[in-house]
Amino acid sequence: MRERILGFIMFVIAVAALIGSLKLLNWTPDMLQQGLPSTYDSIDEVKSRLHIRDIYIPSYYPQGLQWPPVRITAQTRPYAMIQMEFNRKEDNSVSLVISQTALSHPAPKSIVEMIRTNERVNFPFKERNALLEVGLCRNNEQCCRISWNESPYRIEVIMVAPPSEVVKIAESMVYEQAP
Amino acid sequence: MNLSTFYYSYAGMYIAQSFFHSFIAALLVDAALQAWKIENPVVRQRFRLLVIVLPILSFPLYQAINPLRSSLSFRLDALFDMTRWLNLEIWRGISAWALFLVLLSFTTIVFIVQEIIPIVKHALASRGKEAQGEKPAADSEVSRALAYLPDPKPEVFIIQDDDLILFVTTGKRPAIFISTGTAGTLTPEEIQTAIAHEIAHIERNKRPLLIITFLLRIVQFFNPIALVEFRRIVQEEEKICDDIAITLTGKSQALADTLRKFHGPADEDDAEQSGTASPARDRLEEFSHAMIIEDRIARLEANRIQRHTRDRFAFVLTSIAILAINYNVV
Repeated sequence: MRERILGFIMFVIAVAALIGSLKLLNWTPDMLQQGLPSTYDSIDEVKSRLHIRDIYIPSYYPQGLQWPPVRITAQTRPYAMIQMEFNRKEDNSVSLVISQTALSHPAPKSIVEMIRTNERVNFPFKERNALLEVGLCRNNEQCCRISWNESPYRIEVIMVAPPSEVVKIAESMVYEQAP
Repeated sequence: MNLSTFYYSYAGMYIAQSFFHSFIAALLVDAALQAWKIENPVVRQRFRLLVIVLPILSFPLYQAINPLRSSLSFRLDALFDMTRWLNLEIWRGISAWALFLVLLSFTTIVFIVQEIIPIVKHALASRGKEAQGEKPAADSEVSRALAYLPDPKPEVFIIQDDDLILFVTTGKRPAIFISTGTAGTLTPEEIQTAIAHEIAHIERNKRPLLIITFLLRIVQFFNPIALVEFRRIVQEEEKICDDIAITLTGKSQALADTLRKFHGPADEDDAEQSGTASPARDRLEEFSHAMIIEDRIARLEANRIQRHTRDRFAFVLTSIAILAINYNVV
């Protein structure tokens, strides 16, 4: 019995050492190279630390959303990407995600995910060709996604809300293109 | 398709995560075997199976439990996010991902060359051919050795060859083939233990655990950890058969001596002949093989055979630890 208890203690120590090593290994790449995915406190911090000049943020927010974003994630390595998550005031759950990803690279999977697409239409706005999708997210909530190219990025806005709200947000993110 | 697109695909995530999951499983299994001083090869084999089986299932299982596990938010909060390492730039735009894929490709080639091609070659070579041999004479050492072994006994055939040859054929009618060279070199006790060891293989093959493990291992053809761990499982199988042979005969020293005669140092001529293709690799393989045999001999000579081990608690705890930690490794 004593040997089994000793074995248990040894195993727990080994598990703790492994968890510690994994945490350390997870942190080490940040020391080696800058620009790996990380969270930031503000858009300004992203701009100053990663030297990303153009960050597309909306000037229109539906009333039910909290400002500032609850999480800002950005990277420049292996490609530039910024993702912002916004919480709903009523239940503090993430209901809007805005992603800006270097063209030809996949947008990272967001916490708001459309699991069924009911309708997909081309939606021209401010001289851009956007793709507007309407469907269901988790918990069977209606959600919409609008995505378009804003060279050198692809912008994607997904929100648990009707299409009109998502379109308003998208329209508030860009200016009319110069003729 | 660029590497990042591949990585964020289901296949890419499966490949990368199953590699890291098996690595962590291997570390935890080794830690458990050390912590509880588990020597019984049956139990050790069961633990090592975790390293092959769990990483095959873990990624789809975790994704089914939590589809958002692959989201950026989950990754940032995870215990270990492998993309942080794989996205590191090694040299002039070449990421660690490229090196990782080279490692997996190399493992795939090793798997095909060392495991698949020999099996296919053997299957083709033995198609339609049956090993030929004669029944041993009633007063021969082989017949006397067999008399002391419990029933049911497989058929034993003598093949005319001066080399040390001993092998079994499995299937509906399993049989043991022993060369005249082997019968002439081994003492009666050694012949008895050698045959008992082969009987153990025949009995173990009735529950084709190794074949099932090999099929599971094929799913992980790209995974170097699975490659190493499968070989360790095969080594444990040899120890299990050693233990069964000792249970049948009670002669561990005789089995140790048999192993020494079969796997003793090759003579100089043989070494020179076999050393023409790739001497360094051959020597390394011989060295590795010799280490394994020496381990088996040392174990037999020390009579370190555990027949009963209560391991359920350790096994369950290790499985839970592997599953819990790997859930947080993305």
